[in-house]
Amino acid sequence: MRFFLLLILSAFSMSAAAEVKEYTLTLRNHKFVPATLTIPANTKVKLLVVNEDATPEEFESHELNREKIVTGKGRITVYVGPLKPGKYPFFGEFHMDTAQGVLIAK
Amino acid sequence: MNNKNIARLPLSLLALSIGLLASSAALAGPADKVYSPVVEKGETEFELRSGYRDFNNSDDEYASVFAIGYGVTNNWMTELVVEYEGETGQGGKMEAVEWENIVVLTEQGKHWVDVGLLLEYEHTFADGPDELKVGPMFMKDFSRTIANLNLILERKIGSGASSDIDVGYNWQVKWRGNEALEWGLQGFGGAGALDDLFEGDDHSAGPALFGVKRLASGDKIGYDAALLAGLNADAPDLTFRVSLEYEMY
Repeated sequence: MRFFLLLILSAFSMSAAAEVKEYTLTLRNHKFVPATLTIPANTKVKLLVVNEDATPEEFESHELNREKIVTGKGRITVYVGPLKPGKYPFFGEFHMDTAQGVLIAK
Repeated sequence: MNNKNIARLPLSLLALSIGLLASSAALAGPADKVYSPVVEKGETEFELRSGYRDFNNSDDEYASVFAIGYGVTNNWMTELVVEYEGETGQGGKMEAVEWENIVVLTEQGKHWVDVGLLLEYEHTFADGPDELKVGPMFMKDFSRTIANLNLILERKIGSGASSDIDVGYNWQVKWRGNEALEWGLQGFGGAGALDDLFEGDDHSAGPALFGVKRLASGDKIGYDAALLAGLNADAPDLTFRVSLEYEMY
């Protein structure tokens, strides 16, 4: 049991010290702006997803193992990485025909 | 409440929950699952899980559970579960109703490991005490691999309850590839009573399949299935478990 408590404490303390760079993705007319976002590889980053539309959207990426609802006119934060260099597609699940984007880690 | 106190809150909740279990039987059931500390506000889940355990020296066991869950906040999902169990030769029956809660303690990806808490109360329809289960759950991404670990402490409550706390665990490793069909490993087991760990313990592990199918409506159907081999004498020889989940927002 002590091991798990220590594990949890370590998880909190390790991340508290790190400074995470923030990037913004805007949902406008059910499209991501920018649709292509370049981030540093092997570095954790924070995505601020701002929904300017009145309807909710779900930020989702199988490659990033993330799915999170952003309400209409709402905003969410999504932590991703550290990612190996490459392309990581993401989409808005409620408007998949238009809400498409890709993170490029390099 | 200032920021420092807010940061301490998840740890306090965890410590309090573990402390509540001051005193504990085989934990793993045929229809168990591996929990993840991820919850989406406003999402409704319908889940059907079934399993069959083949024992060499006793009757085989089977169980099915049906659950309806709702993401109340981005940190709390609550679920109502009904459980049907049986043994070969004796028939099955409605065994219990459970109130299951997942509390997310860390924002996904923010820390080195994602942490959540399982809180479950089970009322049995059979004669005997009810059960309280509490335990932390962990999730960690390693590139395209996702590892989950659940630690579960169980204490009987009510008339005839023993003072033991049983310790169980579930784990899985999943390799992300084609989301419709992915593969990995799962393991389930019990480590015995907290005061007498690894007495009467049982451990099972084996290959697992996972997948998600997206519907045009935005809803999702997810599944996972595993074939588990018993790793010691007290474990069932073979367990087959399958889970089907429908998610809608």
